[in-house]
Amino acid sequence: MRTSKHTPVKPDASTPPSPVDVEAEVDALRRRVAALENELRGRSDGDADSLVEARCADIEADHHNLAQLYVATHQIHAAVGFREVVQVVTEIVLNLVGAARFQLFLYDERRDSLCAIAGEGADVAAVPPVPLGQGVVGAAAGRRERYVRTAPPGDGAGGGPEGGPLVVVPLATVEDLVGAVVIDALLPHKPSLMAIDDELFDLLSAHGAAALAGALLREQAPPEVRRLDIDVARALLS
Amino acid sequence: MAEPLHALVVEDSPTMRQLIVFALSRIRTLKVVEADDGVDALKKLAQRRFDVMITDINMPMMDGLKLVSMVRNNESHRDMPIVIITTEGAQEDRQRALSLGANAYITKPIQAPQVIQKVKELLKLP
Repeated sequence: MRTSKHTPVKPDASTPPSPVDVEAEVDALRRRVAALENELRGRSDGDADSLVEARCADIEADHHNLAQLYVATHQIHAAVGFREVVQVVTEIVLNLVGAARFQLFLYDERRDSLCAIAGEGADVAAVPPVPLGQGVVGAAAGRRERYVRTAPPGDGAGGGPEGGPLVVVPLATVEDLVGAVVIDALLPHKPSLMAIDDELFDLLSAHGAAALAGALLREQAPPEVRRLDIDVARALLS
Repeated sequence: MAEPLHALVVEDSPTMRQLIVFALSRIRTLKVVEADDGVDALKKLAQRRFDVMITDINMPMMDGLKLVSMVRNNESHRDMPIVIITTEGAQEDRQRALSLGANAYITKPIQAPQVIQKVKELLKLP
């Protein structure tokens, strides 16, 4: 047992401590224990509170991220018309990723080029077609590999035509290239891309591509071909 | 059991609207009604009393600024808290909305915890 600093007991084998001394020592030790317990309780309560707060914040952030993915997926799959799908894709890039300037390109197989069909922050009609394989955008789309510009220190994530695109997200089905989303700049209060943006880009790459291709092919098809044919369905499943 | 509170979410983008509704669904006592634009919002406001309104600014038919102005001039909804959703760059719109009577603003891209906190503050919920 450790002795208290406040009322030190001097061990003396010849004179046993008086009951008064012992009581004083016990009192001092009790006070010391109470003080330490209080200190410990305060510290662990504070630690526990901050741990719980941090965990709650993590859970809220996870919930928000999952909600974003759910909403994006739901909207993409619920859209049928081509215009509607384009609107959903642009809304995801604009409102969920937080892009200030971007274009949605569609791959034109006949010209082997990417053509801008929608976007924000710039005149889409003025964006020249991008030959596949050429430049940052054409090369990323040609390889079907996402490109993310690593901004030099102090440059922030602004990106822009001067520094080249910030992100190129090729849109492709298992078989075909459909297009690309090219982000030039993020909103001013979004300093950089986050982990959830990667998930959203994955979603756009696959689901967005399939939705765009499906919607455009459907609208290109003559009305008589658009109806569901049960015989064709059976033949495909046999 | 306490009476539920009612929120009106006015947003033309289905993606944003669904995300806001998702966020507000975390507030158990809140029932959410959706409107596509300002005109649709006025129709819904005429049908019942709302405890809070969250509205976008840029919308077809009737934008958020006009909506805020009309709501503040209506005796029935004069005291209803209004949260506007803007982009960071649209400072003019934000100032205009606040001067017309909006109580708070949220910038895009929205974060659910921010939306929840702002609405809870305005509704004085714990």
